[in-house]
Amino acid sequence: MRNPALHHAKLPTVTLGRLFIYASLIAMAALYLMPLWVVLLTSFKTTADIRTGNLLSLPDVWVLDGWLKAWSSACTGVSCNGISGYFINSSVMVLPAVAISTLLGALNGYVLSMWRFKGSELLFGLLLFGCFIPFQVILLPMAQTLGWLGIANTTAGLVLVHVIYGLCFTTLFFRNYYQALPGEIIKAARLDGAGFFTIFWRIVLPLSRPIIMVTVIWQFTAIWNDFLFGVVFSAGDNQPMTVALNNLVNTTTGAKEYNVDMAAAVLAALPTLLVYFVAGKYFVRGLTAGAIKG
Amino acid sequence: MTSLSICNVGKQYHKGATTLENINLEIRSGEFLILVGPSGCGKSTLMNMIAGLEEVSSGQILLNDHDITHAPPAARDIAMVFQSYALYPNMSVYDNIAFGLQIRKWPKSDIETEVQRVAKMLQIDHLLSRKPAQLSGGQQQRVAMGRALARRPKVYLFDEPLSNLDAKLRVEMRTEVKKLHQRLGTTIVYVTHDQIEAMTLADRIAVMKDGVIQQLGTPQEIYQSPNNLFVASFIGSPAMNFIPVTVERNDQGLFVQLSDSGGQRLNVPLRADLPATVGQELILGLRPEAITEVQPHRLSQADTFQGQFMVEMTEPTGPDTLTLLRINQREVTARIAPQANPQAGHSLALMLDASQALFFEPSSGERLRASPQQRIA
Repeated sequence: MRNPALHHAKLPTVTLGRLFIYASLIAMAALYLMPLWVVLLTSFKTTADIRTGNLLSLPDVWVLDGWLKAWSSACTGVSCNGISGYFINSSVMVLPAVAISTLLGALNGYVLSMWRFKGSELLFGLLLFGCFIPFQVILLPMAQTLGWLGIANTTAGLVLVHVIYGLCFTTLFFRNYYQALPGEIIKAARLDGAGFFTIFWRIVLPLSRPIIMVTVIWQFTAIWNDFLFGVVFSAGDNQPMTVALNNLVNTTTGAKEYNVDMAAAVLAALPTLLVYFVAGKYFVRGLTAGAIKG
Repeated sequence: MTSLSICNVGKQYHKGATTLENINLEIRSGEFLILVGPSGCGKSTLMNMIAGLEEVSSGQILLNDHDITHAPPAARDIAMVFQSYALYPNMSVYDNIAFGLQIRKWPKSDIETEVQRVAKMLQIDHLLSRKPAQLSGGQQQRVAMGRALARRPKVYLFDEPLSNLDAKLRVEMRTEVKKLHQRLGTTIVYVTHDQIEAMTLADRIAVMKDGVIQQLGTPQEIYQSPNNLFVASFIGSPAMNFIPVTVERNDQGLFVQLSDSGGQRLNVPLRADLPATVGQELILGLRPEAITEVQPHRLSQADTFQGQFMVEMTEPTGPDTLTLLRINQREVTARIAPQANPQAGHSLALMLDASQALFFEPSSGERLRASPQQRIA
């Protein structure tokens, strides 16, 4: 680089164009953050404050009433125990659903890329097709299947639904990631005497950390945020958080308590936010790593 | 004692393409056999079949007279060094070498001793705690060899192990592989497309093309009496010169004619036992080292000719200067001592040693041999 240019770059040059770019970026960010802003502010207000104040104004007094009520005493339909129980329901459902679908996806991907058999490409194609099946299509047959299996309206049933539906995605992720692993490593391990599962546990899985992160985030977000399967395949005390949130918002006894609704919404979104903060960097990294090599 | 027999082995893929046809090879105990050929000739497929990584379509593979044709790789007691080294990236060097032993449930202390022994032998004992990504190409290569050595298998397979190294390191490792073989006396099957590697390392070479073994023999046999045009052109660097000629007869018998740049004719006699007829078109093969500067003491030998040649280009390599000239209007490479000072655009007196000339049948590519025909293949 020539010297004048270097010198130039050091000075803070505020041109009209640059100003425009920053202004647009800030405006866009503000636009996207606005709902979160409103939700958070409203959740700390009192009901009186909400009625009299402006949507964007700060609370007159910061109170936790909305949060406490949402957590432990708000009414969701007939029961009035808040959403804490449903929060636990969702956790108990999401953890095994994510773990099982991720593990099975890894195993599927391993077979489909390293242990090809006649028709394995066709099978993968069909699995891929599963990614494009809308939720609504499988509701009735799935309800019937769960009935046959005797796990209708149970957490186990909901876990099964999510595992089956998620398998297409997790298999796709792992298969494409493993496609980029050198096949000679597997050959070497076979000559070293390792079998199918030894190779999987000792060599393939330890190399899968980035794609495991991607899959876990993807599955966790999808399953935690799912409403349709939750509302259809569970009932009463087994319902997940999202369904409870809906019930809470739709249950009106007297005045509408927006602060409770908002607090409950933030509580419902908290786990997915947390997962993104903790593992988000792996998400982009894992996805692009696969994209470049594959 | 370990011997490996490959009997009538063939490989067909589902789509009907035949990759290998009736391969027959006897690999003796302690022998260093090299499979060499251009890419796509089936040499890697053959090696994978020996390792058990690819199904054998027909024929048999015997290891010490045991049929291992359809045995899984783990049951064969064969180790392989891959072109990409195929080290386990998640494991340390120690674990890479120990992995096969752990799978075979060796006691921990034995594993420790064995890994140390192998690491010392390959001079990688200071690297045992590193991960493969922290090693140079040459070091990774040594770890890959260590992994194979640690199991003390019956047969070692090397699949183009030196191809990923830079030129200098490749020559070093080549020497190392040969030393290792001499020290341990192991049975090795080694695949390469590099004919110099094949010549320098092998006890015997199998030259392959299009799924067929063209010739099997010692490096000298392959070099001096190639079976056909393919083997003659594939082995040797720079490649053998090929000059189309027509058989003629004079009172001394059959001969073919070469002409130098001045139009002077050199009559190269055909050995009487070669099955050639007057008027037959042949291809005369002459290695670059058979065309040299004039060595007066050799001129009196039979089948040695002198001629004047116009030098078109020179490539000094140090010990020799490769010189481009024309015989019968064909471009030909000669290997000339630098002292003779060949210079492009100048005429130079050169000597042809026609006793080294080989004759090939143009349509089949087969070498003309003294009848009855014997084939080594």
